[in-house]
Amino acid sequence: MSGATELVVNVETISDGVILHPKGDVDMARSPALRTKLTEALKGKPARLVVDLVDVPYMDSSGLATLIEALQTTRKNKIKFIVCNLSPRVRSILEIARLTTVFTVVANREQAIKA
Amino acid sequence: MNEPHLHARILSRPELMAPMRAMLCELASRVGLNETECGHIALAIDEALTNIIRHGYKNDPDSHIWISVWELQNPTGLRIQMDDLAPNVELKKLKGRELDDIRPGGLGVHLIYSLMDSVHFSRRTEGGMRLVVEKFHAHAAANSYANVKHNSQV
Repeated sequence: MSGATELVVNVETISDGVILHPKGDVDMARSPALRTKLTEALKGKPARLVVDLVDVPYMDSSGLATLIEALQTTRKNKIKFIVCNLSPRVRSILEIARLTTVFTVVANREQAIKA
Repeated sequence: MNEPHLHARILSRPELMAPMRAMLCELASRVGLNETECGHIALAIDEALTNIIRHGYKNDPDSHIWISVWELQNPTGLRIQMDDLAPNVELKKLKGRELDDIRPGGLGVHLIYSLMDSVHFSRRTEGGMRLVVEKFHAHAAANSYANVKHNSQV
């Protein structure tokens, strides 16, 4: 059987940083692709890193762990780390893991760029 | 216990998690669980499979996982059993970590306990671990509870 379809992560440069836009479920099979893109983005030491989850209908604890890793790196390097456009299902897992107050979570990309 | 409504053996490969999620979600929907409850089942099963593959089988892609599913009545719900042949782990270690400790990893077991109505880990006599989880339809569970309460008052 062939492997899972690779997670597509679009990368967009903004004036003070980078927006990552993953498309698809982020689970154990696909979270490594998101981790790779986050690591690449963080190497550039942007002032702001936004993860736009508008096209992520599902995320498990592998995805959460990937976001927490990125959060820890951004805190060390004084980078603003913002997640936006959470679906109700993804928001629910953040709530169960009590992470909604740990991450900066905003409604949409416009707010993420200004936050 | 009666014959399961579904019994499957899968290889310990992450790419099989998405189809298992979809199938269990569809089954849950067919027995009357709502979208939120189906989502909870999908996520709990995903977390259980992740733990078996990553921690039990150390990412070996050719080990086996057996999944059995029973439809439950009174109250309406699903019972899902997952068996593996991974080395035993200490049962007391199978509990969620403190959520105030913000770090990657260790969330899976906490999520399983949070999302399901009953969770039971055990060692299999033939080797490996067994996890049995149950999820009930909220209204059915409430009605069942009301009936039990009513009967106990009679």
